Amino acid sequence: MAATAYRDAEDAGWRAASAEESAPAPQPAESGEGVSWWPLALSETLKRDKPLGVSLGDRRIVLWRDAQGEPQAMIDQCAHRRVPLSMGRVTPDGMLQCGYHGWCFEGGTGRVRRIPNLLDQQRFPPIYRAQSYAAHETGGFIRVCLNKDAPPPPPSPERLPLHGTTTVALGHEHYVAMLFDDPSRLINIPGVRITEYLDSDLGLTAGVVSLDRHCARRWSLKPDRERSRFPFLLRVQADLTTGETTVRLLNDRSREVSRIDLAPTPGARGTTSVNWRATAGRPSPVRLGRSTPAIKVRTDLDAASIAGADPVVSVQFETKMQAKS
Amino acid sequence: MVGNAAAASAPRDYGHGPAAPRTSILLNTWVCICHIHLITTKPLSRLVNGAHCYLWRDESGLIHATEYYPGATTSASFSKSAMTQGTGRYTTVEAFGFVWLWYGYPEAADEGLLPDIPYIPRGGGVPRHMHSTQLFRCSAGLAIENLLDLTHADFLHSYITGDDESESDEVSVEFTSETVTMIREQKRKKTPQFMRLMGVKESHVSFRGIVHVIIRSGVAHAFGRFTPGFVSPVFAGHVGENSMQSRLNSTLHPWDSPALFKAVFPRMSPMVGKQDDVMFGPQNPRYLNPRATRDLHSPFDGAGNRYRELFGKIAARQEAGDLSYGSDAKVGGSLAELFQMKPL
Repeated sequence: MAATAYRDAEDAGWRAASAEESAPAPQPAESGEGVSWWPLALSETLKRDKPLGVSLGDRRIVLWRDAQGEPQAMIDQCAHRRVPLSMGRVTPDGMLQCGYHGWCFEGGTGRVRRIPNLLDQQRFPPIYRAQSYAAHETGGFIRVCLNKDAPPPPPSPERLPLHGTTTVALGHEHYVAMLFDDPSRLINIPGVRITEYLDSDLGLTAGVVSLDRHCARRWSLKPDRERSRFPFLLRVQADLTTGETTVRLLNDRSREVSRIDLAPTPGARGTTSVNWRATAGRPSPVRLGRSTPAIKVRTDLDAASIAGADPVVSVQFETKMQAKS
Repeated sequence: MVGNAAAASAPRDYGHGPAAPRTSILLNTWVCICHIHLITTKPLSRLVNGAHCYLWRDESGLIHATEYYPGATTSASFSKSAMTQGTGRYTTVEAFGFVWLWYGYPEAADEGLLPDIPYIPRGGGVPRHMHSTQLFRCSAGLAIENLLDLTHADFLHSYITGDDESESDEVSVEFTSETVTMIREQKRKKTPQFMRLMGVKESHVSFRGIVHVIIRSGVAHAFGRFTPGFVSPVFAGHVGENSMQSRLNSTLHPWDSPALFKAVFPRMSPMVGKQDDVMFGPQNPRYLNPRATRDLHSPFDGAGNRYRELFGKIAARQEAGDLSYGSDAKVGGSLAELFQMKPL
């Protein structure tokens, strides 16, 4: 790299920034916050050569893979001129390079490591960095924690083969509540009717709430309330902080028929982004077409029906949490 | 409860930036409002700092610039602002193929303050394809800062200007109370692809780029010279329409270049502008956020930061009632010497 002379350097804020070098480095704003790991993306969508912009509420976050393929996360805003870093690229040595003026950021620390055209020996004061977050990859999800000191998330035993992402115009909190109040408005199981009758009380263990619900065959004409037995059970288990939910369809011998892992995260403007992974449904006899999940996520929510649905189970969330604490 | 952590704390990533680009334009200056050839008998609407300006020709071909839509003079639909002394008619001058509008108090209008464009004949007459007008999704200040740090071209416009690799790369900044000049000298950089297409055979070229900004008016000259290669002068008249949008009236007149370059280079302007606008769109709202963090800077931002500082000083003086130009202003003087050329 060529040497650069800059006669007006004192005007660039360079010296002022250097003077701040002796001051303690700014602490991450989120260090006092919780240790929730938000599954913001699917492993497959985060490529090695291209950063990915995601949202957690109104907070824009950029994800990328470093030289070792490990996921990294940072605020999606260049500390230099505020353009989204997700419009940039990943350098061969695994740094995130802004697409505007080429500033390079290191994963983990978020520090500026390179500014193009500058001297070979570049050293930057600690203030030269952007807010970075902890990132981890488990179970086919890229998880981000706003608190960099948080312990890593527990490993996920399996990675379900089918996956997808959908964004719905329903707030995150309401989405998770609706999975308990009436999951049929959010998911669809071909051939299966999710009833309003429950097979358990709302349980809470280690921040995870769970509920079993009876399911009938869709074409069965017998009214649900007159049934003595049901062929299926829908088990919904959700982390109440992140809303990460596992939905299992069990048969009458309590064997798992199908499963979907839902990772709803707060999206921008009150929406919810739902990353999901699922087991495949039963293949068609003629084996045509691609495998599809047995439990499908609804993308076209009926807003009027959702608005008209009274909270049934979710009214107990707060009470349960308080009782536990 | 559910999802409370993320959404509630998001704005903390932003903070207030003391040195943000300016969103308005200053008073008592000539604004490059429109290309002359675009003005017809059908009124053309332009915005200056949120105020409407209608431009049209009458039957005799005379150009008018008014605060009101022609024919609406009897209604009270237009504001009789001090900019027009209550007449509704702006003071204008035609020069270099543009209509220049005096944005300020008419009694102070001074043609001696009209910016010089040495690479465009005063009487205009430059071919139509060398003119262009485009809208940017950002304030005029942000668009001007974009020009003042040419290192962005190494990434956004590398096809035309080449990448960031060179044997040496020197940047210097000069300024008066009303102007900022950034000079960038690159030695032995790889010949840009575009220059190869235009017939430059050498593997490496040198580049000297001068960006000269007249702060009050939003006028910027980006005068590039590739050696071996061609001269690529860009006149950029920025009009701050509001805090979220600006209009660029530009003329690219490489008078001293082969016919192929003359034909093709000016037509690259919309493409380059589009690339810049890709950045401006998401960038500008982040400067309007009242909870924004401070920008970090590199030595290449010296010119842009000087621009922010001088703009702030002029704005502060104007707020205090002082609209005068300093003795060192050099706003209307010839720029031929700066660009090392003979005026056309």
